[in-house]
Amino acid sequence: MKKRLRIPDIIRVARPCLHIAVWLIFFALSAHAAPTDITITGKVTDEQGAALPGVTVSVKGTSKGTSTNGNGVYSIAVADKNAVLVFSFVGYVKQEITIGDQKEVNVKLLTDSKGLGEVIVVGYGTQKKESVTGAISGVTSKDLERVHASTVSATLAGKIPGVSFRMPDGRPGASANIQIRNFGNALYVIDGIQKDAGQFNNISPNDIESITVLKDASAAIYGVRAANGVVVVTTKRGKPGSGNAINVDAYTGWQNWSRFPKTVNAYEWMLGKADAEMNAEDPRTDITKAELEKWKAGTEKGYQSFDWYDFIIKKNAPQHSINVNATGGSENINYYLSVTRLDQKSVLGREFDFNRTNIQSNVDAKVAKRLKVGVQINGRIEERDNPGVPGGDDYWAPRFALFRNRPTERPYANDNPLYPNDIGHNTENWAVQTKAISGYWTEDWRVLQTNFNGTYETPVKGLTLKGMYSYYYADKLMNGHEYTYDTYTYHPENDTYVRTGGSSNPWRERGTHKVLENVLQGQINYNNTFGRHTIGGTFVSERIKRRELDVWVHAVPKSNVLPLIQFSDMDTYNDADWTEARVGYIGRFNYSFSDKYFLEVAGRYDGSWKFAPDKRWGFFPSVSAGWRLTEEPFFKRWLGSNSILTELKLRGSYGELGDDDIGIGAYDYLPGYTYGTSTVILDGTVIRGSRDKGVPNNRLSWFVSKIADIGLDYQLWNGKVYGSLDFFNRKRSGLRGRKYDVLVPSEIGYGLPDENVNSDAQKGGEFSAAYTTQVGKVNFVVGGNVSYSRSRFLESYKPIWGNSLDHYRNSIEDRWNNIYWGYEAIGQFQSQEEINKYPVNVDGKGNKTLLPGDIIYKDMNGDNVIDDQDQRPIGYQTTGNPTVNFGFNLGVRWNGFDFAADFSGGSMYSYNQNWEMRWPFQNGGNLLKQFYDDRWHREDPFDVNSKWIPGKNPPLRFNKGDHSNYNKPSTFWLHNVHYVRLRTMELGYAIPQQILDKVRFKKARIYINTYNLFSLDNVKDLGIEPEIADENGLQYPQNKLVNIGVNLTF
Amino acid sequence: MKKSLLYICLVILACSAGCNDKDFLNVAPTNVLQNDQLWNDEGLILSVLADLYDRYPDRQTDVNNSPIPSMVVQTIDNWGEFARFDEAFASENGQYWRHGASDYPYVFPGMIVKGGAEVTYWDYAYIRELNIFIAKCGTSVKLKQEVKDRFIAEARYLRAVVYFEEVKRVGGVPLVLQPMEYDYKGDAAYLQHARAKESEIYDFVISEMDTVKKYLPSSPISKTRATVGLALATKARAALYAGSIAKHGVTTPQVSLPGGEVGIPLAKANEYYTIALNAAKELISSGSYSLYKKNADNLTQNFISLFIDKGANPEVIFAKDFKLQSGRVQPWTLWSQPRSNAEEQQGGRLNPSLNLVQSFELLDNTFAPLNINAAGGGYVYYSDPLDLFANRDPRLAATVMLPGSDFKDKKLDIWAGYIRKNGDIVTGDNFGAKAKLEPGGPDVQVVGYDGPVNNLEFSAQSGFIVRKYMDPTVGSGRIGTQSEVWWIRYRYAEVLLNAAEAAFELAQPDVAAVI
Repeated sequence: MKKRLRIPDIIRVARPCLHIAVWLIFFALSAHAAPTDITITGKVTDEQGAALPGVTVSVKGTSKGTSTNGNGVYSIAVADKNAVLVFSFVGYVKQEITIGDQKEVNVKLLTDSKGLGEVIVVGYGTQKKESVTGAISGVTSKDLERVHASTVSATLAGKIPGVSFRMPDGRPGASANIQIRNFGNALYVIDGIQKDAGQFNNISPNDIESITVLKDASAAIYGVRAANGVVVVTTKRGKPGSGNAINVDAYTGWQNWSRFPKTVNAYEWMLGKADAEMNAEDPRTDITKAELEKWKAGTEKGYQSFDWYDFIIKKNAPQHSINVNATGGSENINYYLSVTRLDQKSVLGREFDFNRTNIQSNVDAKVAKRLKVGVQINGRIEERDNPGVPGGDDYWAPRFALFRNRPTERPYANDNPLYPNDIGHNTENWAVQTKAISGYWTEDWRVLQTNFNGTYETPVKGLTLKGMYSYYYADKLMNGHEYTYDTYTYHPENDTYVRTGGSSNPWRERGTHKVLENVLQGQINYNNTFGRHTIGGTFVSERIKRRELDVWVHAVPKSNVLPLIQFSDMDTYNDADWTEARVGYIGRFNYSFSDKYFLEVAGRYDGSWKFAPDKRWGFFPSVSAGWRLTEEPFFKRWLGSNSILTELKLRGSYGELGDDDIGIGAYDYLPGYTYGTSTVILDGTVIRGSRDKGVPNNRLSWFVSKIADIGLDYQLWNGKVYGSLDFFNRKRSGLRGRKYDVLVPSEIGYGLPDENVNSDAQKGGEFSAAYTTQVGKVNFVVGGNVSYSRSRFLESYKPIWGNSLDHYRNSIEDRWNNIYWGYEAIGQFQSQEEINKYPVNVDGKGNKTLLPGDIIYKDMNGDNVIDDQDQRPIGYQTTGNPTVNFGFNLGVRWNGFDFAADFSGGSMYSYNQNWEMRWPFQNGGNLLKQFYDDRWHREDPFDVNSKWIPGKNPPLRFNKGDHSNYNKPSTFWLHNVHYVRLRTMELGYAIPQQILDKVRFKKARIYINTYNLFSLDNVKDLGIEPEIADENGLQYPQNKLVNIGVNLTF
Repeated sequence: MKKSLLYICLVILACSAGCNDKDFLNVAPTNVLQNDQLWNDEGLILSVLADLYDRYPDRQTDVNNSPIPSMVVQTIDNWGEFARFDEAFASENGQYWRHGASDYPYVFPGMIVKGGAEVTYWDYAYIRELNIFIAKCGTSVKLKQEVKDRFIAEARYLRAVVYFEEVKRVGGVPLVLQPMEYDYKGDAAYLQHARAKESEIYDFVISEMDTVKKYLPSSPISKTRATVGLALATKARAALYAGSIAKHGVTTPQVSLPGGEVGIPLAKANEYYTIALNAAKELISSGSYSLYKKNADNLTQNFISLFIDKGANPEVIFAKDFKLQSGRVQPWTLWSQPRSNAEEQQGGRLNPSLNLVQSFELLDNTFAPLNINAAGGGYVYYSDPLDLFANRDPRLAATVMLPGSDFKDKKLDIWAGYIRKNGDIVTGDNFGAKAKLEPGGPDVQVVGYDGPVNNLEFSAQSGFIVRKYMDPTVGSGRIGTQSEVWWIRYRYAEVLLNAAEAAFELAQPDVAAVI
């Protein structure tokens, strides 16, 4: 058989030579002379006539360009009077003016609310928006500036079509979960360097110029980690020749929990408990009516209710931020220097903090006629600081206390703040959760990213060479010290405080983590127009090496006092050191004809250290095309001259993306032993054990993800309405799975390794529309987007079913993923007679544990007993991002006033009530108010024969999780959530220029801004935040934030 | 232009500096020992062997209801399994499901039973690694012969133990003594091994003990690695099992298969009992071990110390060991320490049942329930709670913390409340809860600081807390410190009992009595 030479082979063969060869070609190239020039000057203003600094002024068809200075004035030399000047500025509509005989060209730029202006960031470069052929969306600083969240992901809710959003946890410094089309964890690329979500989230939102998401085959250019889409971030730069400006954005805000379930007071708790005990199978309670009266009065000592929520949760936790940046540029140097400081306290007292200092320094210099060099430095210090609380997550105990602590328990013995009370479960006693008593925990990240780059514009027209070197260093220092402390019981008879509890477990830990990363990139770009043909080519080679070191030590210190760790107190020292290496060769070719037809072909050849040497390399090709129908004469004729449709582009793309994150370790292809798998004491000596790594897995390689996307971009009424529509289908084949058809005896002692046999799909689409208009002096922008993306399992390798129930219940073949199975609650018993006569055994105990108000489950298979076989799909996934995401925004400007509101929402995901959110008195703790307020109960709780009063919730039981009401997932407790919330709202006022001129300010604006002000959803009754995922309702919810702030420019 | 050339040169240089992609992508792992590095290094081989020791099957129950397979083991680092049967209850929220379990199926891998597949002990992954070790260690050229022999003998000992644990549960199993690997050719027949006869597996275990004995140290000093004493003790235990199946299996003929995979012929009973008796006698006559009598004057304390004394303990043959500040400690004391003097906000988890307490004999060799009700109605009154348990086998107080006894020099506070004259009970729902005994009277403590409080986790809900293996050292109840008390797997006392049982079954009651 004749061997076919595949593309990867060609590249492999050519690779060693390719690198140098492409560079060498350009030695041969020579410069050519420039013609004589005419100098043009002018001023650029906005619609109101205010000077616009930093506007790019370029000569069409050349690489010549400058920008306006601080007064909006520019000066540029052109070759002749046929030259066309192009004025472009982010956020404004581009204008082209043919000079003719003019020497002075003054221009008024109109606001463009389409977002990205004329260029859009794509993989390894930028493209003109109209020539983009992939599904690419983005936002710019304009959209992000009004969201004052602490992390970048939290600013993106509802902003970008196709980006799903959920922020289950809202603690200081928390990030949202964002995904592109629900594909999974995206790849982040910041200023050209591949990064992770942590780095993305913690750059200062102030420093971001634009965020672009590559949602389809356009991501393939990032290769083996791009299967879930790519988020490309560009930081701000100074504009050449724009003069200097200093900007300040400062705000101070007040945070409150958006929502948290309420609990009862002591009287209600006691009454509820009596109620619950009388509802037991053996009704009996020690609580007396007289006692209840005392609790109700709450005056006698020992009968007073304590509100733990008020004690722990402090209103109006502050958040401040200040960003100062200096930006500007002369002919040859432009810069952006910025420092941002963010301080965020939490509502859990004032000792649970997050703060961050960011610096960004982007400087580009033209050092020679054709050579530009630049450096971008991004650094930050990120600090998390809170009391050290026993348990893994220090934010857990304070929240758990809200549900765990009874209102009859009190934090201090005899209410004396010198003596924390022994409440039996003192980890939840907030009185001890202070740095003074319980200890401290801090985690600091110090991160420095430096990129150096050089761009050489070769004498060949349109050909540039670019090199980039990036060095990244991150350092984590975590220190935790949990103290020993005492808790007391008060003895009134002799007025003494006796130590009866506390912690005698001193815990000292230190964790350090270092990341060292080097990236080297070489890039060749070619772009030229020949008549109506425009061609472009990009070739990139990239090498990434990343090393991580991690050390964690633990000691049992002798005292609470000193922080140093002594060797003799240590019992654990964990050391890890691993290195990743990746190499990529990227090629892209663009062709367009007459600004009407566009074609892009790209490919990336990627190697990863993770796989066996002969399985390291993968090739990821993509192709896309666009067709601007509205440029076609026949289409124009067909539309007629008065058509509202002014721009319509059809796009289609197809690409193969790689994913090396297939759940195997980096060295699974190697045989051998893993050192340090166990610690064993043999003859009194400590020996670290080694374990056989198992049969090498050399049958698995990357899986391939194929994305097809078809979409269109449109404009109506000359751009007053614009947007896009996309449909996509991603099919992943070669997912891990097991081949079952050869039955290997289990005595072989190992499972056959997974192979690339399964497949799944992710399907969906998104639509966006925006409308912008001006009525008199009022500018008006309204826009929205909606996206849908759901995953479906396609097939596994020859699945086997035992019987049809097994098939129904356990098959995932060709079904939607993440189906929630449970019981269908078809009502509640209305009376004891109904229970007595009910034919179906609902509780598995002949219904003898049931009372009026208890849940009736549907007997799906009609066998008169409720068991496993009666489950059916009742909902969606509870932890992932919503299947449907949408956003809606509104902006109005009038004179100096501006107003904006952004809504976002989600649907098709579920929340499951469980634990505290499901059964009353869980853990013997507090009782949720909703269970108390609206419950089935007897008129007289102490009389089992009294009348039942109906309610929404079943009658109370005391901590009885195994009752049939509570021990199974059902539609009673599962909620398919829909929400829409006012994510941000901002009202600003720009102080008029006349006043500013007197104080020499260029710009001054004050604003008031809100975040998460309200939410419309269907889980309000449960008291939970619609985005939380924790079934017990105890997740730290998102904050409601109100800020006031200023923007100043000097 | 010259300058530009220079820059281009620099860029090219930078780009091609690391141009060898192959070298660039070859990153050496930091925690993987390659075979050629390992098998000629005694220290590293011991490291592999240590990991094999670590997986010794301490399986007394094998109910796989636990979602985490590693949690089904009844050992000192897994308290909950002791609450599976009626010896004890679990006092922790989320663990109450353990009570009332009655169905413990032993199921082969792959069999489906109601409520999900439950698999009995069937650890061929461990056997595979033992087989690899035996094969690879044998090929080592740099290892001294006696070291190599001992290592291989230890691995063979462990392998025999695995087969012993398997045959206990399901009878004869496939006897695989070489590591196997599938060739992906579609036919797995060559990997199939038929089940051996039940007796063949026992014979294998017995004969392996005879073989490994030759290479193992005879000194009783090592309690954590295989010794001659351990091989003999194991041999006696295995042979006694086999003998009992042969002798008593006749009463349950339905528990057998015609091929002998399950069931051992009656005819072999005496042979096995004889092997058991001889193995035990050999160990006894070696004089290497003896009963623990360091506190002979206080038998309760003696029985407590027997389990926690790691200094030249003459009774212990084989144990799983722990060591403070090594990363290898166990939380038994942390989990069950009495709540009133706990070093953490937890403890009291394992509550022995009244059933267990009453099954300790009185000193006159009779059994009796606790004496609570007076003959003529009403109650028997005691001035000290411990008096209720007086005159019982001293091992009771060494196994169970009784109300009124001490732990770590502090008296336990276990009492449920007051009974008023009219029969009303005054009690509370929290540790040391207070209430009024009379209307208008002062608040007084009405329940102990250790419980019992029904449904309150960490309280002694049965009125008792476990004492066996509890570590009296300061810090043993702290999460960060925990305990280094070991878990004893073979004890000399068992060898004596096994010998006695074998002798008795061989109709030599006189021999049994002497032992």
